[in-house]
Formats: sequence, C-alpha cells, structure tokens
Amino acid sequence: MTKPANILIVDDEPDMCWALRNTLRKEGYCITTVTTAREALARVQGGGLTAVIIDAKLPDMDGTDLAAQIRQTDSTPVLILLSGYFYPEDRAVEEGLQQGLYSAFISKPFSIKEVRSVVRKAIG
Amino acid sequence: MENSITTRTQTIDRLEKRCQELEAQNHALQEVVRLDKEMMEVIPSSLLMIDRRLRVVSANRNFLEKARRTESHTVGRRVSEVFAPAVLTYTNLEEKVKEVFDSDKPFSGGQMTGLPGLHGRIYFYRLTPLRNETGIGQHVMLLMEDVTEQERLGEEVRRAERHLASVVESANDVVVSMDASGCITTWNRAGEDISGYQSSEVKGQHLVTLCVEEDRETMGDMLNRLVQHGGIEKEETSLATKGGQEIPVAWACSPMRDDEGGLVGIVGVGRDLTERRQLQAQVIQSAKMASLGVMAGGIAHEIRNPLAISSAAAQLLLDEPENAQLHAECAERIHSGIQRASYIIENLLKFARPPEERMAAVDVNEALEGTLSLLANQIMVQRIELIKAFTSRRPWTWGNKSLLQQVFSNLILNACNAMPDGGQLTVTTRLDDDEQMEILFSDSGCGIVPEDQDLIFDPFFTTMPVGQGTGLGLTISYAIIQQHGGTIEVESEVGQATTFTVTLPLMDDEQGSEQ
Repeated sequence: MTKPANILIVDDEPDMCWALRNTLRKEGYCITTVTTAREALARVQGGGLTAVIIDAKLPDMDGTDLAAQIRQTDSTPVLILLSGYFYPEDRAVEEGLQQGLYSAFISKPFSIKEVRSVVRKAIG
Repeated sequence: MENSITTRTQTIDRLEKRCQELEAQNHALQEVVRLDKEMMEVIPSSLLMIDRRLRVVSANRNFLEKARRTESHTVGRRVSEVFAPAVLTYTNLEEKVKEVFDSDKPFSGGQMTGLPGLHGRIYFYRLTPLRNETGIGQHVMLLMEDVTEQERLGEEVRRAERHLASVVESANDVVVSMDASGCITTWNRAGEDISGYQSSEVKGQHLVTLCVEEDRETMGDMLNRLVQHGGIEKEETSLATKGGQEIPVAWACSPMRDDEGGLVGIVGVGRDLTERRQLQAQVIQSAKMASLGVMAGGIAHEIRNPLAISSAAAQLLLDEPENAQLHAECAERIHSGIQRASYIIENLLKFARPPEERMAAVDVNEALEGTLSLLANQIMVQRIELIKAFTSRRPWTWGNKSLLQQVFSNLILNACNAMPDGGQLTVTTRLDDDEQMEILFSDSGCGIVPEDQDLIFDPFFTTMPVGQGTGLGLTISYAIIQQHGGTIEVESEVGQATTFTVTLPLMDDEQGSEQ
C-alpha cells in the first residue's frame, strides 16, 4: 500500500484552510495547513511534501514568490496557486504556469469537484 | 497890555499845538486809509464798492485783474456796465444790491459764473452794507471769492462716490456696511438678489438675524472679535433667504475707522458659495470614484474570499449529507461568510454615496475604524503591517463623517502606494490640548522628494502613471480639512518615511456624546 500524499495548504484565512481541508479530506491525503509563508517554508524544509496549495496573497509574501522559494528548496512538491485576486487569464498566472512554477491555478470561489480533480491530476 | 500880549502868545501856542495834534491825527487817519486800501489790494478776493445809484465807487486790484478791466473803465461805471448781461440776469445782482440797501442786511451768498474773460471760473459772492458815521448805509460791498478749485474737488469727490457706489452695486458679492453694533446701513444689489430682501427691508437690522438659526452664534462671535481686535475676520455662514432657502456665504468683514482711528462701522463682503460647493462636491465625487477604481482589486479579493468559503461550505453540505458535525460547521461558515461579504459591500456603498450635506459630531476614532476596515484587504494584500495607536478619550469633532473618511482613505491609499513592497503604516490619534486633535498617518515607504513636497496639494499633481492617479486626492483632502477648520501637513524623508499630520478642532466630550 502506497503512503498517502502529503499536502500543505497555505492560506492566511483559517476558514479557507478549513474549506480546503474538508474538500480534500475524503481523498485520503495527509493534510497540513499554515497561514503564513514563513510557516510554509519551515514545513517545506521538513521535506516529504507531495503538493502545496498556495494562496496568491499572503500577509508576509506574495504567493508567486513563495512558490519560487519552495522550488529553490525542494523540487519535489507539485505547486498549485489559488487566488481570489487573479483570474486564470492574468499574465502573472499564465507566465507561472508556462514556466512550470506551478502546475495548476484555481480561482476563488471554486467548485470542490474541480479542486479535487485538479489536485488528483497534479499529483498524478 | 503885557497881559494881552501874554494871552495872545499863549493862544498862538495853543493853536499851534492843536494844529500839530490835528496834523498828527490826519496823518494817522491817512495811514489807516492807506492800510485799508492796501488791504483791499492784497486780499485774494475781488472787492467792489457800490453806491445807492448802483455805481461802482471803487474796485480792488484782484477784481480788475480777474475781470480784465482798467480802473477807469470800472470806477464810476454802473454795475450793469461792469458785469455781463448774462451774469446780471443769472444772479439778479442789481436787485440784490437794492435789497441790501433797503434792508440794511447782508446777502449771505450765491454762485456766479461767466464773468467776462473768466469762463469756467466759479465765484461765490456776498453783499455787505457799509454804514457811515450817521449810521445810514451809503455803500454796499460786493465780495467775490474764486471757488473754482473747491467746486472741482467737490465734483471729484462726488464722482468718486458715484464710481464707488456703482462698483459696490455691480459687484457679484454681497457688500454690506454696518454700524459698529452690526446693524445694517447699506445693502447692495447682490445682497438683494442673493437674500431676496430689499435694501429697505434689511436696513437697521442686525446682520446676525439674516443668518440661519445655527450660524447666528458664529456670525455674532465674528463681529465681536472684529470689534475687539479690529482686524479682518473671515467666516462661512449660511444666509436665510426671504424665500426660505439657505445660501452658504463666505464672509470677510473689516472695520471702518474715522480719522482718529475710532471704529465707526463694519463693512462685510460675502461670496455666494453655492456654485463653488456644487463644483467641489462634483470633484470630490469623481475623485472618490477614481479611488474606488484603485480599491476595486482589493475589494474583489476581499469579497471573493468569504464567497469562496461560503460556496465551498454549501458544496460540502451537499457532498456529505450524513455528516452532522460537518453540517454545523458548514452552516456557520456560510453565515459568517455572507455576513462578511455584505459588510464589505455596505462599506463600499457608504463610501460611494455622495456625502450628506449636514455636519454632525464625529468620533474620529470610529470614522478611522470604518475606513480602515474598508481598506483592510488593500493593506493586507500589499503586506503592510497596520499599527493603530488611538487615543483612549474619544476625539469628537464637528464635521461631515463621510468627507473626513474620504480624506482618511486618500491618505491611507497614498501610504499604501508608497510601499509597493510592503512596510508599516501607523495611524495615530492624539489630543493636543482641549482645542485640537492630531491624526497622524506614518508610512515606511519611498518618501516624497523635497521639490515635490510643495506640489503634492496642487490639483492634478501626481507621481502615479497615467490612468492610475487623478492627482486630486490630496487637493480635495486639503479642501475638506480646511472646511473643517483644520490643517494638513506633510513631513517626509526620501527612502525612509512619510508622515501626514491632520489637525482638527476638538469638541468637548459632553458636546460630542450629546449628539
């Protein structure tokens, strides 16, 4: 039996973390949530993450910058950008996807089915 | 014999002595006559002596020179020969001379123009009866003074007065003069047009009675200050018109003084602010719309977060129909998410709505909280740390809350723009004394270069790229704060920090909490 995928959720809103955790709970992942970029980087240092879902606007750092820093530390986890600030067609989002900085983008509000399938696909 | 000789000698002696005395008297008399004549010659007026037959018996040099006549052509001639017929007809001179002879009373004066060779000169003349020892009037003295200069000056004064009066009448501003107690003495046409009250209706009334009820104290205080200190006083009050309207008027009043410096009256100039207020309101509204554009990004994010939470919670409810524990959590989050979203929208609408006209007591701390909650997301997404240092005593001021909030949001958004890479924003309120409060907005941003510091309050000055800033935010803020009797100042160090300090008059706690 394979080990469950480790997923880190980074969003400054605890209720958003709650919603994502419950959306993905039945998928059988091992889920951790943090509300700041600093905490997220510390968790990445610990290693073993399969995917990180990052909110685009965090109080201490931009989601894109956090993604870049995670990439520098650990190339393994799949990164998914989540935002109410950007739209899928925004240049910043398109560029990040093209450069392979993140594998997927989810805009808020989202459909839980979409989130489930995006994450499933991303971690393949 | 000897006796008679002695007597005769004495008589001769006496006669000689008498002769000497008479000679001396005659001398003295001649001297008096000479002096009289001399005096007649030197006085700067024209003198004519006229007898009962209306003939000129003497004329002084001044007359002869002015009238360009020789003595031989004047003395001994009839009055009708000496003066031109037009003068005689106009003044009725001969009749007047006769009247003076008959009544033995002087004629106190009249004007005379058109003397030969003296066109354009104006004379003032008098007739005085002169009596001889018997007391019977033998001559009448005609005294003529050249008053052309005085007349010309008088005419100039009248012309200047007419000119000033027409300036005052045609002014677009109310021009009102009052006595030292503030009662109206003159009221110009603009005053009539703006107030609807005719000059005759307001004369004698106190200017205070023309103000709307709530502004009467302000007007009275201003006039008192003026009487006490004597300087120019300015105040904005509303005029209650005859038709029941309220017209905002900016007054500038100054004292009128006499030559000794005593206060004799007050003059007030009042400008109708209706149009300016309307324009100002339009500019404020459009600037507000522009700042709404700037805020839109932040607001979209702010609304989409609670929407996303509510929507996810609703989907989870349907997804797991059996999980009662999850249901409770979901319902709670749907509720709180919707509440948050509607709170944001409510604030947004409050911000976008044109401000109320009325002034009221405003708790500045509370007003700031409202603005900060609207901008919380903008502040957050720019990773700006917000530090609030509010005074514990409520800082009440008399003002328009939504206008003040617009100033606050302008200053906060400016601070955010100055910190594109995040930073610290400190908002402080403190009471200076019992009269004034200070509101400080300090950022740790890029600062303002010294050459721009003088320009930032100018209209359309902006350092933002085209389309991103109107350049009106600070101009409007300045106007709003000024309207509230406060000040707004900036202190900045490039690359370090910028602090905007707003001062506002403080109301005392009791007044504030009564509202």
